[in-house]
Amino acid sequence: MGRTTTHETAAAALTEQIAEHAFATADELRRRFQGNRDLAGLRPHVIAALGGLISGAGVITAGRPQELEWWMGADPAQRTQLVLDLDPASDTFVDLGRQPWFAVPRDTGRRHVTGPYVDYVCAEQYALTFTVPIIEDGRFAGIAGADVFVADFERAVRPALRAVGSPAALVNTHGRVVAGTTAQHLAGSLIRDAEIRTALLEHTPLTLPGGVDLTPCGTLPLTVLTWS
Amino acid sequence: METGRASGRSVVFAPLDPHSRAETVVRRLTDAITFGLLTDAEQLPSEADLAAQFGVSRVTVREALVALRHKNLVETRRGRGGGSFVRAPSGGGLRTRVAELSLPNLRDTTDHYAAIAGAAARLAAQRADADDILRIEEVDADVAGPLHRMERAYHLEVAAVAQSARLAREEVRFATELGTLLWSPVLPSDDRAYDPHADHRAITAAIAAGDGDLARQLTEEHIEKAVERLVTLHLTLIEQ
Repeated sequence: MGRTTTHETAAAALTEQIAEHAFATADELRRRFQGNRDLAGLRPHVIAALGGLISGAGVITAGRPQELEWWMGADPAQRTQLVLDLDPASDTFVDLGRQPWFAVPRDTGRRHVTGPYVDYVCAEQYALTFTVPIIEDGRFAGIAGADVFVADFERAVRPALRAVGSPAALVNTHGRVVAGTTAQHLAGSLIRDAEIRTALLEHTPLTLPGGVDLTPCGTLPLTVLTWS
Repeated sequence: METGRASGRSVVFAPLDPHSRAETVVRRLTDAITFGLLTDAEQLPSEADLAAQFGVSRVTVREALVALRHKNLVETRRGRGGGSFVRAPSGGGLRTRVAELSLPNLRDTTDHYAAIAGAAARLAAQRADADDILRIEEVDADVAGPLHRMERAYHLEVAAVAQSARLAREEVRFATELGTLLWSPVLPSDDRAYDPHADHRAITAAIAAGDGDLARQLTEEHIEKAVERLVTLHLTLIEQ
């Protein structure tokens, strides 16, 4: 098509690579858990998964009682185990059914990217969470996942986005900015332009009449936008 | 001095608006008992009196009393000298905490909180999409729990929609520090129009309309009202 420069394609490919790394981390934990359903035995593998861009990882089971083995902290010195308050009568109750990173893989049977969002039940950080469903005997048995802080994600894709030259932003399907190269497109801001928002849902490479290019990041719900 | 306490108590038994039914009666009595405005072993007014005072039917009152018995907050004895009696749970800590409040500290803490929650509402108005509005409305539709829990959930969701982890952390901190007091459910003043959910709906509408200034203003007023209630209750309690 010749509409996208190699820089846009490179930024999209890098995004895809980082996201696939997070998904691979989640998937590795899923496979280990599915082998023996041994949450306690999973701990060393969860901890080994942390580091670099991965700021949190683990497994949360479905059913009752729900159990979890989830750890946070890319830095070994600040490693903490996630404890969720699963008592509905409590003030700090976490309703997992309301958390997209749990509910979407459960309801669709497919992997899911949540965010960027304020993760106020776990690390209290602005994050992206990559989760995969655990299916056993055809039934949903829980999720495995990995967190990447938006700040770390942005740092990783920044050089590739800046290389585009013109204003560029990495956004999710809803038009929420993960990383941008201008003050108008900082992480967390929302693309309001109706035309761009509609185009994002199509998830195909496009050039809009206003000179906005959309370069989807593989099959991920993420797209590189550039303004020429 | 008995007047302060009496006025606090008269509010406990004030007429309900027509939409309220057994659940509201249950909540108001639960809160009053938990809070200590109704004391252990105290006899409640008769079913007929409660019905008249709350402005509901006797069936509604009976239904509420059944629920309160299930919660072990009320005991009903039959026969002569019978009736419904309060069974206070041990440790009436909330009332003591209100009485021991420092007003200068309260003012400072709630000023800070109004700044946090107001800014979160303003940013949410800038950054919310349609799904975010649905999330906020969903949180606010859950009216089953105590007021302080609903307030925590509502304002935390607004901070999340503002895409601000720091503001969300401050919301959690405030909820732990002062939330149970600020949103303590007993109405200490004669302000019967106090309706936090109506406030929430107005704030949500302003966020949905993208009107950040209005969302912030409404949030600040929402908190000011709650602070006034708490201060009034504090003053009532220390005068006793």
